[in-house]
Amino acid sequence: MKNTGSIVIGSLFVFTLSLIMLGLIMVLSSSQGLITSDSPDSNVYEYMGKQLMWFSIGLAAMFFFFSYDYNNWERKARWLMLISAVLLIALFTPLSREINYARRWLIIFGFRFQPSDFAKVAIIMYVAAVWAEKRDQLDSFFKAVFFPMLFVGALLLLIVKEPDHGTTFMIGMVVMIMWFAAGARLSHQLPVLTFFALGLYWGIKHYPSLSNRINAWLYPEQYLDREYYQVYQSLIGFAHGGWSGAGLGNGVQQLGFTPYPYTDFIFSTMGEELGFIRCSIVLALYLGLILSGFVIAYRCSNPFGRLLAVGCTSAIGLQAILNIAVVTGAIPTTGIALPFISYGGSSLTVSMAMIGLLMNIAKDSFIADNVPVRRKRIASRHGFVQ
Amino acid sequence: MSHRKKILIMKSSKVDMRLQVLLFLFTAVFAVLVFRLWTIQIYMQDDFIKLAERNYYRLIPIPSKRGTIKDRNGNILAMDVNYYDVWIPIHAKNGKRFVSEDIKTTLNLLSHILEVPYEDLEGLYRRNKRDSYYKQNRVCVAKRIDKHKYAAIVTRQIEFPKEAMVFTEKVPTRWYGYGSMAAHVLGITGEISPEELNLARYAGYSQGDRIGLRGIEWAYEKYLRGQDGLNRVTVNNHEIQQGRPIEVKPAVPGNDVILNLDINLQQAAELVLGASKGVVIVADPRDNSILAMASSPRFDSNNYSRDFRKYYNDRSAPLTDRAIAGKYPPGSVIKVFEVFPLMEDLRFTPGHTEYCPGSFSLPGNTWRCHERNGHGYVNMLDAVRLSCDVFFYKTIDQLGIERLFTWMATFGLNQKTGIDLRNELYTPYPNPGQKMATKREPWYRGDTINTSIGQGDVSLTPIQISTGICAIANRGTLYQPRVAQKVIDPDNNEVEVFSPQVTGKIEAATKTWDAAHKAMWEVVNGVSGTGRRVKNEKFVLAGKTGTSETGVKGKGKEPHAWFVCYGPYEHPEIVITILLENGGHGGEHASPLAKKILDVYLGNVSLQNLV
Repeated sequence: MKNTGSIVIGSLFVFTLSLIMLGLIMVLSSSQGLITSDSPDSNVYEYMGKQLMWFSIGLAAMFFFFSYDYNNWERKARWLMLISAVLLIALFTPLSREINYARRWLIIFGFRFQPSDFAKVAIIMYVAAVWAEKRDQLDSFFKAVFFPMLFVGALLLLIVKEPDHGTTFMIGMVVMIMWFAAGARLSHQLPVLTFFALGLYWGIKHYPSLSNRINAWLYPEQYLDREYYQVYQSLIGFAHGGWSGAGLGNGVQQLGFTPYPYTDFIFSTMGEELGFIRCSIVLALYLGLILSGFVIAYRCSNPFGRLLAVGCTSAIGLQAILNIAVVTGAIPTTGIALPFISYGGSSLTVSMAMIGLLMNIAKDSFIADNVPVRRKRIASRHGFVQ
Repeated sequence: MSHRKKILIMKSSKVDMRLQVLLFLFTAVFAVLVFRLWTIQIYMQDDFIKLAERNYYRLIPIPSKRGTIKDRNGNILAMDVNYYDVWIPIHAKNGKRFVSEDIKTTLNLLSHILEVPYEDLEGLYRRNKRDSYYKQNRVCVAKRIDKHKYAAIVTRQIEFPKEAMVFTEKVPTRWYGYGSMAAHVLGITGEISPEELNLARYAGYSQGDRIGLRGIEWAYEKYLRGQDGLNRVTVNNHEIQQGRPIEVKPAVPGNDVILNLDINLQQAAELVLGASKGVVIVADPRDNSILAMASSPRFDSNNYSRDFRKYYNDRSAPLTDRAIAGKYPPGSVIKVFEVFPLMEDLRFTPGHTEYCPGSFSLPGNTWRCHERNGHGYVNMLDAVRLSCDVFFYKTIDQLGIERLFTWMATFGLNQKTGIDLRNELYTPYPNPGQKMATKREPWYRGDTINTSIGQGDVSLTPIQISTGICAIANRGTLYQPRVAQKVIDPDNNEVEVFSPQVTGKIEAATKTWDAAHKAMWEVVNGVSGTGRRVKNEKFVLAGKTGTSETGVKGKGKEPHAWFVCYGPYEHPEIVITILLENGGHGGEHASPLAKKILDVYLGNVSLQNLV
């Protein structure tokens, strides 16, 4: 058993590091056009350097979460939710600055980070804690589901107001997946999903920015110069890549045709420079990550750990899926970063923290199986007496 | 096993199943994504690649330099000068242009550099059409700025905001160094029209190309035209070039055309004409190369397109090159040519005498001599010297129209001269066949009488007269008039030298030539010769005046004044042809101009003191 655990933890670590290393290279490569055309005097390694710094912070976060017993989070989850709420409210104070018509970043001690990234983890922990605790009341909507949903909903409302529709949608989906994994009754989940969809529909109707994105996706030719421009340029980049790619740094699309080629649309640069085969390998790495996450959840006998593992895995997986689907033009734009690869500090740190968390869960469940004392302790915490 | 543990196990199996469902869903979605990647990267690759090339490759034409036109001494008459168009990007929100802060900064700077009010520039920015040629999202705010302002923009380039960077585009523009001088001969350039694009002459041209529209610019188009080059460049989304061009096809400059024109004589010709309507042609009779060819009124070549409407509607027709497309009755000038048939066909001697009573009558009509009292007995030389009409009425009546026509055709008066300019015209020399064909009337004896003194239906261009006089001066060789001398490439190698083109030979006895020359000598040097005003002891001229009735009587409808001459008498090297439209009498009004031109030719008078 110890052997399997090491393999799972090891592969998680290897997959993650491979993606991050690739991400660093791609950030360096895709920020070239931006640097040379807009500010000839700026440092070529500027973006990669910053990302490297965030990587070391992420590494610290990862090892903290790996070594800190995840069971402690079960009691702290409520407080984390409150802290997230405070941080999200702080976005509407002068602590935050409006960038691209949105208030998504808090600037503290010169560091820019997104409270919604923090809230994402808090919500996953909170939902996992609540439903692990009330796992035998899940059949009752009002006893186990209604109140946490309200609490989560309040946070999501704050995120919507930033506005950050993509992240809201993504967290909502993660909560739904966790609810499903926890054992929701489909007769509960389906109406809630319908409600969720209705809310989305209402949002599209009332926010022109959203409806434009949908229309751009439906009728690309009318929006080539506007909402669809980025996706259109991204598609051209992919096509330019072909089977084996143009080679690192040879991408032409990132010369400014694809806006923000190093953040949300970095996968387009990868498509152009690395080609179809290597991009498929990247997708395989993500799938491997998800597989490891699910194996960990599967093997975890602790309901909290299991839900936490499902939450973290699906958060990372869903972000990857949403991002890649957007850049390949399969769905309307959502504004979700590609985990581990996109340039962006808090996204990387939080993703690495979640991997640390997963590794901790794995360590606990695989290794604890062979340690009766720990097992007993866990069992007693959940009210089992052996 | 407690009740709670049972629940956990039961739940667990349900949860396990759900985890499998989720994992399956994730895997399926990833498979779909791989398929999607394959679709756009492999399956639809070519479609997107086409879009991509439009995206970041630009073919930027490098405008070529059109050849320079120089006179025989190397003075530049027409050349390409680089001017620059200024473009700025369009900032638009929801498809509507607006003046952003960056645009404002750029326009302010431009208004400062170009010394144009800011409001004007902003108006151009808002109104002007988007670049349609390169399909770029930019608009032209200043056209044809000179190199000084261009240099000012380039040196201050760094001050323009990046999002509203100015682009300058080189636009080679024709510059005629002497303004309207020789405007008709040099011609002008302009954009090729859709109709012209279909002509075989313009195979290989494309829309927007510059072509010669008239004159030398038209005639030597194939030499003057350079070949535009192409730069294939990578651009970013701000249309700013990235790195060096991927592919360069350099522009090939056009060849230079050296003319026979002498700007001194040309300027003299134009000065003496002044504002009056008329033509001066100075040619070298040894090969009929054109030393000067002035047609007045002229147009300003440098502002041709701007003022085109004005010129087009002007009733004095400044756009018409009167030298090659103005048709005038030659009047008495024709008498010089008539000496030949009289001597060759009727075997007259120079001493052949007729009596001039002041008029000549046929049944039903009477023709007057310009000397009402009659010249009395005149021989052939006197008839030419005094321009006696009755002598020619009588003798040409005797000769008959057929033989006259044949001889006139020999002198090239029934055909275009073939000068290397555009739009030369001619009218067939009057003859019975032509009259029947056009007027459906038989030829009357009276028609011959009219024709004999260059009136009636006789209508000739000054270049035809000049060419004919050249043939007389050189004793029998009819040359094609040539404005261009040779073509040289930019490295001064001769590409083509135009040798004199002989279009006809005039066979006549030496005594006939002598008589014709003597007659013309008499006109200038003889007692009371009509051309006595140009008499010159050192540089002996021979000539003939002409005063042709326009057929319209009344004020402002003076006759056309002609004067032709060659010199020096023994070895002719210059032929001067002067026509003053409604200018009065040939001897009185036209011949003094020849004297002034000759003074300039001989270097006796500088241009400044000419008028």
